[in-house]
Amino acid sequence: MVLGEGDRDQAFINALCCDRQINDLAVGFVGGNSNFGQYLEGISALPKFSQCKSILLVSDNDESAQEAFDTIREQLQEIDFPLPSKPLEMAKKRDYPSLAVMMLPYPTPNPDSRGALETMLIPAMKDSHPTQAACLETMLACAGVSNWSKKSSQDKAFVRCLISSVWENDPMHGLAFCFAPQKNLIPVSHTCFDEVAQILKSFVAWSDSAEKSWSSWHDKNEKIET
Amino acid sequence: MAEAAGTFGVVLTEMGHTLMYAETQEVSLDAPTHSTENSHYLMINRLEIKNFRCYKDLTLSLKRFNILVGKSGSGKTALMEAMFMLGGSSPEIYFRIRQWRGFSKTINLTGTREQYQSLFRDLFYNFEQETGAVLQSSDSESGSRRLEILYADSKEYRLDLKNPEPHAFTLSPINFKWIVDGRVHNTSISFIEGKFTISGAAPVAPLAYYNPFNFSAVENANAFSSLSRRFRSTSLVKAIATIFPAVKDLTLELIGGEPVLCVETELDQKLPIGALSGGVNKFVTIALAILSNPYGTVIIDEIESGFYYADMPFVWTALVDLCMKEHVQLVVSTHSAEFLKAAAPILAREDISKESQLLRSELDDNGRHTIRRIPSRSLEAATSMDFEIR
Repeated sequence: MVLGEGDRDQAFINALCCDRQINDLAVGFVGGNSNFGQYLEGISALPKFSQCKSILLVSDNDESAQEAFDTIREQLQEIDFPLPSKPLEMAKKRDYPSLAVMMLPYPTPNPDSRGALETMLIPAMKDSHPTQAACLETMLACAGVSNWSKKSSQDKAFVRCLISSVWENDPMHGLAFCFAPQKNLIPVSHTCFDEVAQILKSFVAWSDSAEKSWSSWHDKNEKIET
Repeated sequence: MAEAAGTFGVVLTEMGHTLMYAETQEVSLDAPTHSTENSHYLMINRLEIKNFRCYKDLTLSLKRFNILVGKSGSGKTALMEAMFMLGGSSPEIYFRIRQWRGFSKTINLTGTREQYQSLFRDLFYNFEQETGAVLQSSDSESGSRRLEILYADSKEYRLDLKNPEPHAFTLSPINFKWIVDGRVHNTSISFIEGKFTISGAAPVAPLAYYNPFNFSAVENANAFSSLSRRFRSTSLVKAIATIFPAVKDLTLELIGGEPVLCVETELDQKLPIGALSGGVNKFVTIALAILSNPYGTVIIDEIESGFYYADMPFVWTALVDLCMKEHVQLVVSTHSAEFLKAAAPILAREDISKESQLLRSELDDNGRHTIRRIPSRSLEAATSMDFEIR
């Protein structure tokens, strides 16, 4: 099971899984990064929950990767669920599904780890619509958006503007609906998503293994397919 | 027969007069004190069921507040029946359950073994009556109770030579052996000379079981009278008023020669409680059961029936508060999402969350009936997000 913060995360992961033919994951969203704990507690009461063997939580770094991850850890601790000590570490506990957390953007652009899902989408959107992207960068700089303190806000503004400038049928088209391949708004086949796709594709196998960290599992088992 | 203390004694007398082909010949007169109405029975912690109805082998931990959900036919009523029978005193309890299950009040037998055994066959898992059934519980005061149901291995056989029907059969009595804190109480049902005969009795437990079929106005009147004599009816009136503010007082009145529980409202005459509202009547019945069984267990099947959906949070709050005050354990079943949604935040209250749980009857990986326990916090989280957990 993969749980994101919102419906946009769910739509992105579903689209990526469909594109890369990853079929063994159920994808949902919890309604905000402060709802992971309550959501997990709630689904643990569902009749089929025992069939869920592993859970991947997907959340945004926003302005502080550490703070964002700690927010999730606190919630997991509160509900007594398996507790990873860092992102992409598999935590296991008896009578619970294995659990790992992936923070976005992934992979983290150095040195700035700030951002959100939208941060990851921008390279693919720029490659897909380079003309509009170039204009928008100028426009947003002119409008002062590039001076905003919050990186995730800057990136969200860029994504919103690009969608509006490309999708004439509905400039207000919600991000969750922009991943359909025929729309060519956000091509999930882009290589910038390869590493996330690799994690999703290997998640079940990784969770079944004894390897705690993704990097050690990955080093032992796979090369990134490009 | 001496009446056993508690709810069962009253119902048994009523049933004995009107329904049964049974005669009770012996009773146990030296019931241990901790199983009487005013005893320190406390809470059933652990229940074990073997070979009973749909349960081959089940072990279950119980808390003070237990809500039971599950699909139809998944074993909810069987679980409650197990607790009820375990707390009983005599095999007649089985005939009561049978009636609640929809069987006729009268039993006509031709006297063959097959007919006799067919009465009891569905008690046993997979109809394996040779194995017998065992129900067992332990409570928070280290007390224990065990019921073994098995046909006797009889060395003598009765042949009714007067019976014109040709037959070659043997009838073994079915034994209900209660073991209460190590003391054995043998009881049995046998079929002698065309009549059921029930012999023996065990100490009854302070346990009441209500389902949509066995609410009784007479029992309510008796229970209220018992409370009123001991000046304990005030808390009942207060509890009712929190949900049904129109009710100012409760009294027993004679109507048509019968004692009837009546309510005082704004009207210029008192009303029989059943005429005021089915919901009030049901609430009173449950509240009386709680007040009449301090330190005991009250089991309610389909608790939501009769209650207006918007009243459910208040009903549940009032019942929980009564149970906390009277140290009563509550086991209720429900099909209602509204009831669950109303109950969940109350059960997640800090003072009682560790004493509450949801129990769901379901099939395990091997296809066997089992009960899954869900903590009250998970119940609250699930209902707040409208997850379907029934």
